[in-house]
Amino acid sequence: MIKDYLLEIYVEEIPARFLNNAVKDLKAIAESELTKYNLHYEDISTFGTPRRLTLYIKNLDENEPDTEEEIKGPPASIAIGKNEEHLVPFKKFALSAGVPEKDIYIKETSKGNYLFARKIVKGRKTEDILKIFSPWLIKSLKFPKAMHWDSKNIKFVRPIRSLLSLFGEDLVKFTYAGVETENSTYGLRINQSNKIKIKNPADYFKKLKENYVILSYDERKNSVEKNTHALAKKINGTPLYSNDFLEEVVNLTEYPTPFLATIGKEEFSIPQCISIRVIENHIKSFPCVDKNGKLLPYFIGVRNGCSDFIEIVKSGYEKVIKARMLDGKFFFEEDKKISLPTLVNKLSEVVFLKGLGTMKDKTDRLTILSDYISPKIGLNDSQNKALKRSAYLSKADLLTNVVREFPDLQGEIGGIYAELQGEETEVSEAIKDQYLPRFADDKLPKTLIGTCLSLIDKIDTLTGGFVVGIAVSGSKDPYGLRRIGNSVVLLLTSIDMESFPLKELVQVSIGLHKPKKEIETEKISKDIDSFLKERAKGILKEKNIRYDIINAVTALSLDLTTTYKKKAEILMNHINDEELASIALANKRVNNILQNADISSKIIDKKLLFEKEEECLFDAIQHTKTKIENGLKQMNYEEIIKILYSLSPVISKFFDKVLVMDNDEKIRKNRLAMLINLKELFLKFADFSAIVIEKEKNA
Amino acid sequence: MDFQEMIFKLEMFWKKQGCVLLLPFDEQIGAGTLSPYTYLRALGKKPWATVYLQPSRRPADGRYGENPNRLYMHHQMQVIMKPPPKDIQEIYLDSLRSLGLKLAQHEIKFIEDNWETAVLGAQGIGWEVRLDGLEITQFTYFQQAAGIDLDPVSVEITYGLERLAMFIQKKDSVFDIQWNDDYTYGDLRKDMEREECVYAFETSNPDKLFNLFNIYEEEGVNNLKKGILHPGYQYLLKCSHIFNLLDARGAISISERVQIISRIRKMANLAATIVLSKEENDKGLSA
Repeated sequence: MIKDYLLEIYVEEIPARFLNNAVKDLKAIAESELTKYNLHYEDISTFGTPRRLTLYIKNLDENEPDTEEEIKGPPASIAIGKNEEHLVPFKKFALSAGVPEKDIYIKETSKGNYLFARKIVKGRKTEDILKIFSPWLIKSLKFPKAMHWDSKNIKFVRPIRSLLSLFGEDLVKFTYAGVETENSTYGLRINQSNKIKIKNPADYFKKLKENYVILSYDERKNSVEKNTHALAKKINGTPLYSNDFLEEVVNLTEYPTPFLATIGKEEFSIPQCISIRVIENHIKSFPCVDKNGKLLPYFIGVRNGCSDFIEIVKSGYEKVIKARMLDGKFFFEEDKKISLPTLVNKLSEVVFLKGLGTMKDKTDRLTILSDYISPKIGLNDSQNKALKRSAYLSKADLLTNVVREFPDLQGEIGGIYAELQGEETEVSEAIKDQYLPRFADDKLPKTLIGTCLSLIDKIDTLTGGFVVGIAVSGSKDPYGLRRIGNSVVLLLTSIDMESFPLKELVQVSIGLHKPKKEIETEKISKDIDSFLKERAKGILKEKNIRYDIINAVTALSLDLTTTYKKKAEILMNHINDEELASIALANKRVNNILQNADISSKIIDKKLLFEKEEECLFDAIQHTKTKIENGLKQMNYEEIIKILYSLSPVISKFFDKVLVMDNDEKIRKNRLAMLINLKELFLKFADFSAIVIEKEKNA
Repeated sequence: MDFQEMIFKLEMFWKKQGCVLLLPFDEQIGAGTLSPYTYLRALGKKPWATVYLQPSRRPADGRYGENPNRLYMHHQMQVIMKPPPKDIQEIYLDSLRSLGLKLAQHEIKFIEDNWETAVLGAQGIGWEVRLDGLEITQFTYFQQAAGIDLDPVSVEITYGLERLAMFIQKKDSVFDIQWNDDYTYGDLRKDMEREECVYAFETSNPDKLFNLFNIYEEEGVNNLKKGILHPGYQYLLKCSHIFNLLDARGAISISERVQIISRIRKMANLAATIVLSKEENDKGLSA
């Protein structure tokens, strides 16, 4: 026989940010715990709202099945007498096995005849199992932040106020955190909280719906998104939100009802980025923009409840937004009174990272790095000045009221103040964009100066982190160095240069942190080198580049990070070419030969070329070398592929006709030198030997 | 409902829940939590339930009486219950109903807001309660005071009376609140608001304030070390207010801030030790 089981943990409001994980964890823990019992079920689903976590097990066995167990007893020789009578060990065994003596039987084993009994183990009642299972489940559910409210021994995300535990129509009794299970729950908190009697699990889902509770996150989310977009359409706008923020808003409700509200014109005269944060942070509502991305004087709030009296709720929200916009305006106006250079000096009181000095120290390092990077990236004098100025002012906004109120406006608001204080546009734009890109598909800095500022800022943090020994391993990454590394790669990818001296920049930057020893600098820069390579590989992987192609392009120096992505994309386009397979094979062959060879020189002696095919190859290498170098300079990778392809038949003929490992040492070494030259020619573009070809896969 | 009526209503409501009705503590206090009626009573095992009004001074929030929402001093209605009743959220919502609010016509949200008072080494887990988007109450289960895990915990409910009054009386400016039939909030409080701001932002003398801080601290620490709890604790309150004044004046650097907080925290720890050892001794006597 089967029945449904339902457990509801009814609590005071669970923080929105914890809810979805809790729902996932509840399911995972229930599934793994149930494997410990001999019970079948059809399906487990879990749900959550701010007030409740619900577990639903569909078609769960009512009992564990009975099982039979064979128990071994004493040897027959000592248990049975000469006249087949049952001796003491026989009787004792029957007694301990709980089996009548007549049911005991003898079986031959490798060690002789022994007594055996078949014992029936009664399966447990599921109800009894649930009495242990459910409290254990609640106890096992962990949250990033939990609390005490009653007993010192019990911790949960928020106080548990009611427990519903129904197996079919039957209440499964247990007590947890001083709360006894009942066959009742509560609907949405509207006026008085009335207990709702629940007959069985099906009744639970029905009753909650009637009482304004939508259990499923997806259902709430879809409803919010659909209605929000519909409301925005009325004002020819689009709602603005990230997935995280949407999740937060949805998880503040059991029954979400979006509504459109207005913002007064007069409160609206502050930078758009502040207004957006005010709308999001202070009233948990969605800003709306027009098709040019300009903020509209409206917002969309989401009421926890139905649409009755929603006009009253709306006018409440409108009053709050008015007051909060005024606050925003006040902070903005106050900030405007202080010049950014004044704030820069105060940065000497703000700690950057432990062991890495203050934000003023960071500012000074960034100014030095500005001068270093400018010629490398081809900035002219006035651009260099602009970069230096923006580096100098970049962190000043950390001390403004607006950033204290809305930390994620750092950079953006600093740029706005710089603009208002008459800094050049190049400077203010760079300050605005200094934290971009924050993640893989984020916007990039709009200008080259902005890119440079963002790059040196990140390099400084990264090298600093490594110098003071911040460990990045597994899930440990306290300062988000991986994210910073990703941004470095993304920035370099966006730079249109055949190469960029990243390694040297890293070394210069390490030097500015004044590590203890020279050796340390070397080790740190090596560590950073491989750290950034890993980041680059990760980013290419996200772009759906094949792993072997990723290996082929990242085998090249970190200074060529600027070209990784473009090269990888070209190779992906040619992945099915026969010529590509053949040059990949040729490179593998060259590697194999060189691996076991003693090589002393790369210089080819033309006089030692005897075969026509090796002369051809020699000519081809000489001939293509400059072409490839030119192609690299112009970043014309399509052309380079063509040139490399043209080598393919020449190489094939060479291997067909020429024995590299000639008995004559001079000839052998000359031919090996030729192979090294060939290998280096290919390596100017990528390590083709890393490319896996179909034949290999099949083999 | 006018402002004074709201105060009576809330006090009567919580009195009926078994809270002892106390009067505002007579020191300049930054938040209801700092009052000895909360901080010193949240420590230890003894049950406690109280309701009191606490005028709270936050110099940095002052706006010369010109901002309709921001004040140098506002009024908190503070409720402490140790241990918390099981239906405390429902009781709290009933208290809003006692002010005439029909909750079905509004929206109540409990939004995560864990609070921390560094100077007291105190932290709590809870929410800000929003009524149609307006934050009207901090609802907190104390978890720690003086860095010590509390057992039993207390629930602390702090109403922002001005906001609630503006909501109930449908006023756009705090100064338009009717205190009673004859006086508005502005009539009674606007001058003081303006002057306090002039003092806090313009005319206070930071050097003198630093001196005062040192003197108060010394007197407080000396007495707390002798086990003289209440007078010692009152000097902590004075220090805390001076700190807030200096902060509003922009006279405290970031490194100084950390240091001053830790000095006040030290006094709070001394006070907590006295409370806990007293309770230990009392237990010894009754046993």
